[in-house]
Amino acid sequence: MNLVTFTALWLSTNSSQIGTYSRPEIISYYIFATLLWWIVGWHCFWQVREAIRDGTISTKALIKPSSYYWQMFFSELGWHTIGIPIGLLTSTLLIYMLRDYVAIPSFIDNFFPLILALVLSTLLIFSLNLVLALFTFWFTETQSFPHFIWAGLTFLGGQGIPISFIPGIWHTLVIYMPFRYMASFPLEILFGQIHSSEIVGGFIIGIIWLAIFSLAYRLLWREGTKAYSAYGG
Amino acid sequence: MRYLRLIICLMRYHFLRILEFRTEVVSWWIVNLMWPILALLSTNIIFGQVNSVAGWTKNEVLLVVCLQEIFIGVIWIFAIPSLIDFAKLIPKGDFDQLLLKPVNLRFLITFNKFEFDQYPRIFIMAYITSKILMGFGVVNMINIILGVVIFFIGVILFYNLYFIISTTTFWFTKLHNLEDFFADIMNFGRYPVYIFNNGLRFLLTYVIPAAFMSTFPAQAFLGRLNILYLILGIFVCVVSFIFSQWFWNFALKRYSSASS
Repeated sequence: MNLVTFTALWLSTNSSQIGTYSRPEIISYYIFATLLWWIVGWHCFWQVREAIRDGTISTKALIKPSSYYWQMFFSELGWHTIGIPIGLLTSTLLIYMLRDYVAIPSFIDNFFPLILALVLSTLLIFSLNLVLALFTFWFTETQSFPHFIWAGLTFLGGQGIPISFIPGIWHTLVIYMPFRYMASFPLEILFGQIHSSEIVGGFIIGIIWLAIFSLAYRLLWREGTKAYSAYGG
Repeated sequence: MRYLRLIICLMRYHFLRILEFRTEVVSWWIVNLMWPILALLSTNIIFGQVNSVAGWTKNEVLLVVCLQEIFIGVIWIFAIPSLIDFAKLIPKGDFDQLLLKPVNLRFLITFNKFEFDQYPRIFIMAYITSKILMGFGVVNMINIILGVVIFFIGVILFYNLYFIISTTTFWFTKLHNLEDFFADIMNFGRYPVYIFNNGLRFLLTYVIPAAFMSTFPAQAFLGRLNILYLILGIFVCVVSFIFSQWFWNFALKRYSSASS
């Protein structure tokens, strides 16, 4: 829906240049943002939350000699083998239907950084989903928690509006927040909006956030399993 | 009066229930304030790049955004939570218990659940709306009444649509993603429907009532609403309610319980 709404919004302005994007580029931006979400979007929060609430996490994780993090990651990865082709097909159809209005960016020059950025986005979104889900060890009702991710991605991560449109000091703040690296960062590389030094700087900040989320996961998992008591399972 | 007492009773029950989960309520208050504030901020950012959107100025679009957020708040007080719960009753086999209650079943389905986490969103957005309207200086009592009427026409239209689709749970037993579907539908009302092309605008005016959600109330408040839309809205309200009731009765006659 973001794709339709925001594309219509920008087209209705009759501007040929919108910020740092041309009109065809801004339409392409939302198509690729939609494709990006098919590739890197994760929803393990609900699965983990339900496993903790109904006690099945005892058999799924607590008694198994493997990392729950990687167990969930590869479990979710299976869904992406379906999601990615669907996303590619949808995006291809959209590009074909809007072929007079879009500008496909050349990503040959930035192919390697783009792939790395997609891997970073995947790990960041997955890690944050998992970290938030682990709060279910303490709070029985955590349905509101994913909204922080969705709102962050929409308004601070570039899914709603490109973060290059955010002015002044707010733009600087957004650069240092994790949401940019979950959605906007790969798109900025794809559209050539940032250069080599900024790409390197972005990876450093993204990896720092990944380390923070990983540490948070370890801490929450350790403390959560100590506090956890299950019925049934 | 009996049904009013029932509503008060159900509201009291759910209010007492949420007091058991205070952390959840506070977190939902934060979420329900976060979304509208971010929506307003992003609208400001959009107007940092352009001067108008489909001929609408910044304050006019902000008015639409505020009204859409109030709409979401109002519809989430009881209508959507109740209908979401209804969609889960049939697969779980709990619907039969409601059939035995000595009250109108549609009333029970519609007012079964109340959420109290939307009130901060509604009050704050209403305050911001009033400030924006005062800035225009053209608002009079007739416009306000017209705007409120067409706003609630949008609420009723949306409720009827959601009710009709929820009724299909009798056939498609698992409709758990309706909540996400309608959340996305409501996003179409965030900006004036005039940003869309003719086809989509038609759909969002006459099929999915996104225009009644925020665009038409905004036009009414500003004294720019074509009165035909008000007449159309009332007509569609009545027709959709009659149809939804007929469809509900049609579905109930074909319901066969799995448990009794």
